Amino acid sequence: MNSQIKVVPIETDVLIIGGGLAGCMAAIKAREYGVRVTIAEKANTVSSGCAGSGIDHMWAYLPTIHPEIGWSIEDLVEDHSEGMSGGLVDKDLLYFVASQAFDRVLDLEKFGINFRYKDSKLPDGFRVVPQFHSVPDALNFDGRYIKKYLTKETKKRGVTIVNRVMITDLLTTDGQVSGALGIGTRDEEIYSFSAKSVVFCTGRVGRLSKAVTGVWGNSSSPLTETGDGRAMALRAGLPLINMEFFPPPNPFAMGNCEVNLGAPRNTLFPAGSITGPNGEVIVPRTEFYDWDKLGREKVDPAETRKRWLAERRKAKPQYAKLHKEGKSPFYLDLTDATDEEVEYVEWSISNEGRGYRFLEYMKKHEDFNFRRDKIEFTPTTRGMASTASSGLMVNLDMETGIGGLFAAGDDVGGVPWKSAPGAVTMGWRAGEMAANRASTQKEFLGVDGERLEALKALCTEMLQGGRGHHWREVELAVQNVMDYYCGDVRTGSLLSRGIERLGHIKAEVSYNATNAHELMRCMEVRSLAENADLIMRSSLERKETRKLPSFVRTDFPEQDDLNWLAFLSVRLQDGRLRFERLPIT
Amino acid sequence: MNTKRDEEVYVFPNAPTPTRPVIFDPDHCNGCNKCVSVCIMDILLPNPEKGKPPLVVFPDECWYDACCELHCPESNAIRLNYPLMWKVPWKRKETGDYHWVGEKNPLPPNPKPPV
Amino acid sequence: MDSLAEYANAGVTVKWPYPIRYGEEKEVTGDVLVLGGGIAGCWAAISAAKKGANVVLVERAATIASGSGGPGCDHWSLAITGNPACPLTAEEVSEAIIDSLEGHYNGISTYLTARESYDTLLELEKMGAKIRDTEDEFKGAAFRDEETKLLYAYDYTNKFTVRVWGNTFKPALYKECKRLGVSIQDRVMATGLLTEGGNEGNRVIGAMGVNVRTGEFMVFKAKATVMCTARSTRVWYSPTEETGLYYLSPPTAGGSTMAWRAGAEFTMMEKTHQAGTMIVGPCHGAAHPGNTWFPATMVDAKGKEIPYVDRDNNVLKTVGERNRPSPGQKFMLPDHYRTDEYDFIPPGTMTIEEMVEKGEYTLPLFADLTRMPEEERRVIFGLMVGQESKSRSTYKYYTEAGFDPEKDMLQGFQFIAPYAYGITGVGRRSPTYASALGSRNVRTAYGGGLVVDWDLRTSLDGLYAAGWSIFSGGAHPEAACTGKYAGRHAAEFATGISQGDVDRKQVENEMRRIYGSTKRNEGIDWKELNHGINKVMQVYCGEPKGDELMKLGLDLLEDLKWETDTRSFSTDPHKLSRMIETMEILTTAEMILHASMARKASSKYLGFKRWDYPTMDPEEWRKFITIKQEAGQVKLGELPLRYWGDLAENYEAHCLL
Repeated sequence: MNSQIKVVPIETDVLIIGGGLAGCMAAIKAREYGVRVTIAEKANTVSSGCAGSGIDHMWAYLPTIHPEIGWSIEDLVEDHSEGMSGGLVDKDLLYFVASQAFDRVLDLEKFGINFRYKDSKLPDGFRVVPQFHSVPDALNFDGRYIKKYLTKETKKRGVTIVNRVMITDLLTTDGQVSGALGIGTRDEEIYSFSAKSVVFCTGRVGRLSKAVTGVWGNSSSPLTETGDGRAMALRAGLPLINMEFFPPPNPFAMGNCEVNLGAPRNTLFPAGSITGPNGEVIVPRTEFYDWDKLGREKVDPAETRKRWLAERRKAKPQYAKLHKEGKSPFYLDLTDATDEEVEYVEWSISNEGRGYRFLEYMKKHEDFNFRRDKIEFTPTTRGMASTASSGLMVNLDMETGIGGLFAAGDDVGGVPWKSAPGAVTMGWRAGEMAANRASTQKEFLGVDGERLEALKALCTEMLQGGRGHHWREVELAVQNVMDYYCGDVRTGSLLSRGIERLGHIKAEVSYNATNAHELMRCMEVRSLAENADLIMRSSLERKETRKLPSFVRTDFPEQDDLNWLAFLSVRLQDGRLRFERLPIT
Repeated sequence: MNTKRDEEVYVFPNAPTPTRPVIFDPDHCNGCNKCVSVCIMDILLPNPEKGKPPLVVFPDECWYDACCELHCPESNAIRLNYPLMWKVPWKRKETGDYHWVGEKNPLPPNPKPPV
Repeated sequence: MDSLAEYANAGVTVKWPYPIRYGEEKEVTGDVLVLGGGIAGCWAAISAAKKGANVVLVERAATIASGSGGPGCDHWSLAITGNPACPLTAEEVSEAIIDSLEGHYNGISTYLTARESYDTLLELEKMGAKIRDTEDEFKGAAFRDEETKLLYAYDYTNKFTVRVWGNTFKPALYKECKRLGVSIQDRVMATGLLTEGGNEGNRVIGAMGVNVRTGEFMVFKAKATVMCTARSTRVWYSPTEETGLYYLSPPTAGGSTMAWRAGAEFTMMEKTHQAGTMIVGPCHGAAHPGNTWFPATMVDAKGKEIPYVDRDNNVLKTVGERNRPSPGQKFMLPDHYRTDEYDFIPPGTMTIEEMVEKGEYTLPLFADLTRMPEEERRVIFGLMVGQESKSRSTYKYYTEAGFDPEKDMLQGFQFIAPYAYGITGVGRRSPTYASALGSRNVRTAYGGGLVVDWDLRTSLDGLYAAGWSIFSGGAHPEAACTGKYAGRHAAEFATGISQGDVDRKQVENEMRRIYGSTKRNEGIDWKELNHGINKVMQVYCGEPKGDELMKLGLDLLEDLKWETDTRSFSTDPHKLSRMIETMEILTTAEMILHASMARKASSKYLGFKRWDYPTMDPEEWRKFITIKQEAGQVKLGELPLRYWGDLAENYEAHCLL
């Protein structure tokens, strides 16, 4: 029966798993070295990943601007470390991202993405807005079709793109990668990749959080994020860090994700403010650095940072609290903006995420006008940073502990809010190193036949039909466990119980897929369940409560920097999970 | 049943979850459709093949009241199927082990339940 | 093949097995029309038929099994007058209940239930229901009356709640309806009332409805009508994915909105609110912690017992102590009446969360029947779990899976996700109460509904109400007794009056209203609409409430109505019926918002919090707010608390016995 599933063998020097921002950048760079490069993508690279529906801004250290105002890369790193990660960050990696991001922007320009504007006051024509740091740090740009351009570039350079394939197994031989196995999400076939280097670019675990409305898809990050890379890395015996930083379900989340950006910075800059029901300002519009002073006046980085941190605290109002006090609903308010400002914000929104369609819809169906109308929104009170700070451990060459395996973007742990710059810089570097490795490697190590048979057997079993569980039922069960045992109240005993419960569910489940599409969903849910287990076990280990990145243990309510200003790594060794504390140096 | 490869596969939208709130045993079901007539939420339809168990067409509306089972003239023809996401486990005092309905290695049935 | 998926996969399409009769009309005439065939409806039909009326009973599902009481019930409360084992009077218990809520309750239905509950139970027995321990299973138990073999619950001193085999009730009632020649119209959903001249506020002369399997339009002509429909359970959460599991009542819609459209007066609608813990407990798995599991011992994960304390903070070690009134208290009140005197949560008690944070207890918690006396254990798990609504299947499946109450402890859920859904964060109970099994704080059960007088007549001529369609309507015995009482009055009214003339325009308007969604094949289905309503209610009518938010909520509901009018679709009569239900839910949501906006004060007794009017129960707001619809406008009114006057006197004057 197993033999009925067709196997499609593909040989490539570099295999990139996941064709989002990081994956595409890795592929483009790797091709510069003349090796054969293949992207395996669960969806279609033209529109997949976090940037799939567009991004309008991207932070970077800007070497033509920031030195002029007296701000150094070290200052950016310090801002990010203190304001975005509470010190729990891999500073070397962060420095790498900060220092390389601008170069990648120049590359993106070459690929056809526009970053320069005639009306800019800056010498090189950029539009710069504030995002994560104490001085304006993000380039605003025409990023709606960034994935389209990247796909075009990869194709131009001769990268093979295999869309609609989900990689499920990483193959290794004696600590070296030999390839990967995957399933066709449309054709019920197994794809067997033989490769000299493999790059993980799969993304986060967003889908593990239950949508509070009970409606699927009410999430600002793509639902393809099922932690596939993390699950494969675990099975391959690699250490993962920061898995416990997983946000509990957000009681506030609902529609209008498109404007749900927390504070009126970046996309909503310069005119957005958050107001209450009677127009009272809750978060004022963000102040702008006066570019006219560029080259004449320097900022005092330490002082600026101090002010920024204080403002950040202020600008992060407790929406839940305000709501209880009756100071809701909240509005994104641009009514006091000038026409020029409104035009600018609309341009940003139309490039960011699902904003383009949203705006179009609002104007068409609701006769919407920013000058007159405010957008009601429900704030997310917890960021997505948490899952982005978890992932694989890499060095500055993006190497993992397995020879020939690299990781990039949100598959890498240790830098919260690395976002798009993280993806493009790490992807680029990983592509370079993976290509180098592939060119020095003489032979293919061959596909592990046993693993192939095992995957065939698993797929056959899932496709048996009949009385197994529908993937959605299992997913809800796993999400429920996270909800109850790893939600807002996290205690040692609850987490232990949750781990047990999850184990029971895993043992009880027999997946049932009636076609390739459902087979993919089943595999995704399997990843989610593995991630859930790691998250609960890691949460059990971290015996403290941490402000940034946010982590709450009800039974250990204090932050314990002495013991826990540390990454928690977890790996599978001899069938057991081993935890290790890696202090931040 | 073989894998789907040999058969023609038809496309239909995702089944709502849970997909199978009640399960019929075709060996015990006499196809009388009594359950169809008593179901509070009206989630069943008579099977187009006479004498066969009813179809569960609106599984997502099930209230899990088990009236179908209560009014079924046969024993063992209908079973309620608790969905995965809602199981209330219990803990056996002496062993500290947890158990629940549908576990892989179930306990033997309680032979002397209170009446 | 027994699942639709298998048929679809095999390429077989299943045709809708019933004829489609959209818009075809069928007329049925009777003296008394009963809308809703649950506990209240069956009793209304029976008592009207016994008075000689020709009765038509309209039921959305199947009368033999339908309604909240369809799957069973495990206790029968307020069995006072006539009960030889109970030393109390109907007056003192009713007054205590009313006092405990400072009058924010329905004195009429409470008192008449206290008067008739015991006799009603005996009547049920005559119809074939089981109410006594005739097999002597519990001989010698503290809760058993040896002479009558009745088993009592909660207050063993005063014995006014009887443990019953409620599985037998609905089939017995159904048989009795049949015997009395009631014309039972199963699978017909009433959708609108017929009024004289088709005008709002006029005498009710029947109802309209739709067959939920064929889509046929039904016209019921009657001299008197009794409204016995349920509450809308789907106002706050929608029946999607797993959600159907949570409800204590079937996830259908209350039909009393049709009385709203006809101009009837409602009150206490603002009490119907979201409760934070609603979604947390798996209802089907555990039964109600507040009554089915009432005196059960709770332990934490390490086996540490959580003290069961009375209102004075005295620890009640034995089950016997838990089932007796506290010193100085004459009797115990059921759990939903909360005052300082009767409250089970002593002031100053820590919440579970506080206790866990202090490290005193380890989660999760368990109900530990193993520590209880043998007969208590048996009566809880064997009789009560085995008879109470949906938990009946718990008994069966848990037993099959090896659960043994002598050895096993059932895990609790409630505390774990205090605000998994929504923004209120309310509803954590004291651990001293057997709370951790997954309570849901179903406030809807005791919330708003139709205003009634001592005849259980609504503000409309010819329209009576019983069960959950009355404001503050209660559980099983209240439904039964009000049904019986309203049936008597409806029959009496019907004897002195002739049938009204149906206004064709009203029929045509109703057809237009209900069939709209059948005209389209795509757009918004009932589930999406339901989700939309739920989200509006969660966000704009959560806790605390404010005018600004609620106004916005009403605007959004208005928009949903427009979307429904223009885009709703349903592809078969079943989905049509769900769509109509969901439209009723939308109306219920509007009523709740109107009532909530009208009460410009917070109220402890209504569980009602306004941030813009935070003062609790100021003197000038101690009254019922009433709402009704008049010419498309919402008309506010008020009624004094205790508007029912002297209980005994009025009951005697109106009971028709």
